[in-house]
Amino acid sequence: MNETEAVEQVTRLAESADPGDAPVGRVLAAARRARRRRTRRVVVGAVAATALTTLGTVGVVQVATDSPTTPRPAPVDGPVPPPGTRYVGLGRVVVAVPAVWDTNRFACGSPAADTVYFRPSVPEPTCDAPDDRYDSLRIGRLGEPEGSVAELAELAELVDDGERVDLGEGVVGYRSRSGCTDDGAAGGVGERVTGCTTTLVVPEEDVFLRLRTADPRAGEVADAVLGSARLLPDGWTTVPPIAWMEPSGSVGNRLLGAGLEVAREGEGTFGSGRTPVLGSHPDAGSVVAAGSTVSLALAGPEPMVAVPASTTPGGSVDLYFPSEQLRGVGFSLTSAGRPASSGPDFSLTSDAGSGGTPTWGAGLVPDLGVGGPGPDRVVVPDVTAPGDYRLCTANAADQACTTITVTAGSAP
Amino acid sequence: MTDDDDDFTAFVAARWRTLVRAGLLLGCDLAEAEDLAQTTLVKCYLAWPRVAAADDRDAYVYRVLVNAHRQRRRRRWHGERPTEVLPDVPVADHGTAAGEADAVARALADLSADHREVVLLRFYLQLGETQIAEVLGVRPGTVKSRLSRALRRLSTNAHLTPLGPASEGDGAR
Repeated sequence: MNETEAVEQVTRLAESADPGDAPVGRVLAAARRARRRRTRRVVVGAVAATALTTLGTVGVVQVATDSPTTPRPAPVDGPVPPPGTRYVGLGRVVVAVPAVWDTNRFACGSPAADTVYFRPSVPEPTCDAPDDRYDSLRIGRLGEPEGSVAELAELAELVDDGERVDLGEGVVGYRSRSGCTDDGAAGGVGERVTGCTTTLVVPEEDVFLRLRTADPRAGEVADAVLGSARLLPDGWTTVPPIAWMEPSGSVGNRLLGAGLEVAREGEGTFGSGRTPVLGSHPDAGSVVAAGSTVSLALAGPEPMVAVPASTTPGGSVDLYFPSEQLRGVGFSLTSAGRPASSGPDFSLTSDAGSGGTPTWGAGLVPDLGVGGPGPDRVVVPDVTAPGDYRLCTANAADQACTTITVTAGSAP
Repeated sequence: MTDDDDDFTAFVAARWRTLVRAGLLLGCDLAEAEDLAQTTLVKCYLAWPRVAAADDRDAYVYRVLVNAHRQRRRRRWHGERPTEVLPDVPVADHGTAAGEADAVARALADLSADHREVVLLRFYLQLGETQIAEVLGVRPGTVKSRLSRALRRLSTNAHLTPLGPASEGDGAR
């Protein structure tokens, strides 16, 4: 049987049944009843939470009559995360993630480290099979255009039957009931399950957070991260999402719209507002005081951009490539005053070729080709003397370079 | 009635048959398939403004349908027992066409749930592999391999073998 025959046979089978006309009235009535039930649950939750706040009661709050509820988080005086964690989020919804998690660290369309991300920097995998070793937290708006069909569908399902989570101030979230499910990659015997996904949706704030982990204790990881969800107090907000290579004009307007100030770092200029943005400081999702200044790293005239452009010995630098630049995983670091004929001071290997950890002076550099906008992470050797350095691709048909400054001190 | 309700009811009227038939292809009987279609539409109604604005609204709805069907299967698994022999299903004899439909239904019933889902999405709802990957939440490569295996199994299924090229000359449709 080929595809054409399969289409014919299956269609013929389907059309051999006649379900009759759509019972439009019955379906609409059922849909309205479902919406009324959901609204009632939210209102009951808000009233109960308000009453308990008034009484100063602390404890497990059973606010709904027909669905389980998690403990309401303790009120926060300020955005101080638990030890070893940092708050990240969107708008005023935040969760605590391990402080060592990166932001928007992607390669080949999948996380290249434990990371928080807002949208993949590369929509489709462009090299080897995606890496599923890392934990990640995706944060997004419910209706964002790049949201997948699966994410949109999950909204409807979670709002309908997810576990209720009270975030305070009457705001309710809905969380995947099981806490951990396979991601659908297991298609049958012999195919592996590649991770567990748990999602928290907060419709009123137009935010979803999706945690994915390959940790054997996935349920505990999900409880620790998504269970920390809360609203920021007045006077605090988060740095809005910033997509790699997004025009500086739209990023700047988004930051200003969020009540933040904008500055730039690096060689690039805002120009006509079309200069690609490579990153920000603080990172997208970070908690900041309302009115704070966010610095944008803008693509400059050189084909390779280092973020940050200044670091200390032992610090790491992310390298971006605004235009397509095929390269290897080897880089050279040469003091700005050193004659080219003397060779580089150090040979560096990016994280793309060293199992996710950048190294230097490691001898043989793997013969790997890398494409895409980056970032490729390299580490500045901890024995580097302060000064200006040229950082260049070591194995590329068209060499790309940029200048970085190494300052005295040590990496955190 | 609001504009959203008008849009929703128009959608229900236009898609009801397709959704019910999709349920039948997933292995439901007619009553279950109608119930599944209604459950799917109710879930969509709760987020209708976003569903209506989705770039690929049908794919979104099919995703909800597939998930709702999976949930039903999980809930009732304890009520099912494997059997070596399929019970006879009385089918009105409308000639060869009914016989063929019955054969195809039995062949589909022999497929795994994963394979039946891709057959439904590709061969009846006629989604592309990328769309199917989105609907099922798997990678396009997984869709390709499931489709390939499902087609192979259908090709060698004993119920369908008589419907192969040798039977095409008899004028049956």
